[in-house]
Amino acid sequence: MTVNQVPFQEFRMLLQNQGLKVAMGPFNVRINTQHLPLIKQLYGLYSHYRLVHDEIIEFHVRINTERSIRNPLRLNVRFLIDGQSPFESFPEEQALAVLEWGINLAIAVRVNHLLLLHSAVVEKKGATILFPAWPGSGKTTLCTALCHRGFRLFSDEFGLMDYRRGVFYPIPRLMPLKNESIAVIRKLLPKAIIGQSIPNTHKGTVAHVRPPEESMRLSENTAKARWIIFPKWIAQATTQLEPIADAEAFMLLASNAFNYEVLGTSGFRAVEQLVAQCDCYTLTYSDLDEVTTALHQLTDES
Amino acid sequence: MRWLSNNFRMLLVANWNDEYTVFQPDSGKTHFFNQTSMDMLSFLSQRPASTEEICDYLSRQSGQAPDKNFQDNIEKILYHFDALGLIKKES
Repeated sequence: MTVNQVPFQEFRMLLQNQGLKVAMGPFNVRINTQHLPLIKQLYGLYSHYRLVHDEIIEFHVRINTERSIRNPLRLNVRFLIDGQSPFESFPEEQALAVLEWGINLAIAVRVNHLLLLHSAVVEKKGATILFPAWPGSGKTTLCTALCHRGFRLFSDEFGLMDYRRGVFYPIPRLMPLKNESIAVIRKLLPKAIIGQSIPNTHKGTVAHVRPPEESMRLSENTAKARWIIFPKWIAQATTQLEPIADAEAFMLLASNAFNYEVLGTSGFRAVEQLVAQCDCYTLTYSDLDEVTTALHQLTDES
Repeated sequence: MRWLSNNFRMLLVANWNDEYTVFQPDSGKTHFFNQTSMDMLSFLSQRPASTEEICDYLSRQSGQAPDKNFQDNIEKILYHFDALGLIKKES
């Protein structure tokens, strides 16, 4: 059962009482909040998320409201995981962004049974492309365009590799567009479902894209990696895919992992396996139509 | 003074067409080596050697003249390896 099969009143009751339990890729998350504007946003944007019953919950998170100390007339929101608050409170308008960042943080610091790459991941014909990149490289924007144009969304943020099986887990979630990217995607993909813009966050203005229904429906289907592409958006750049040496790709990939050093030998062997089985490129681009065509061409030629 | 490798057998090495990524379990660090660096480390895993012996071996391996510039580069790599704990001075 998915969120959109539940009436709004029931959805609200879940969030306000026993918690909304939803699957996010290989993890189950329980969310509690009393904040009605957030509940309304989640109902629209989480509509294809699968509800979880009688399964182990990995992350118990909560968005609480509290009075601002500086301005008691204002409400702030605070993210809690297992009752602990990992960061400060934020203005209530930012509740959705705070929830999503909080879940990202929980995954990034707690998951060590998988190799955790800071990478967008999309799939086509049973093989994935990894786009490892640090913030500001445009990977969420690129990923949003690709997953609405023939690629399946695995994640705009995490490459979750089960290094024992050599496969990647999908973890399709909301994709937070930032600043100029919001207008770019609204124009490029008028049918994409995008939440309201949230201004003045520490990353500027953020708006969340709902993952395509097909990607959510197939979110238990793992796949192996076939390409590793290090993307960089550069204004006015023409699309260029340049092969890079395996050793360089190795070092770049290892430096993009959240937990490579924690995993030690297993991390090294996982990255070695990945680089050995993938074609590795750098990508510079500015035009989303052009880069989408180039990536379809790349995957179709294999 | 003679150098020898430090726990060479413990290193995990991936060979990428004469470039190498090397995991050092002692430090948890991963290093990138070219062929010369790998040859040097491998040579020092066989037996202790002085800087002059290392230069002589590597110049024969690479076909480069063992001039002052060559020796300076080898000394820099040795210094670097020593700092990383990949080699040590013979006691």
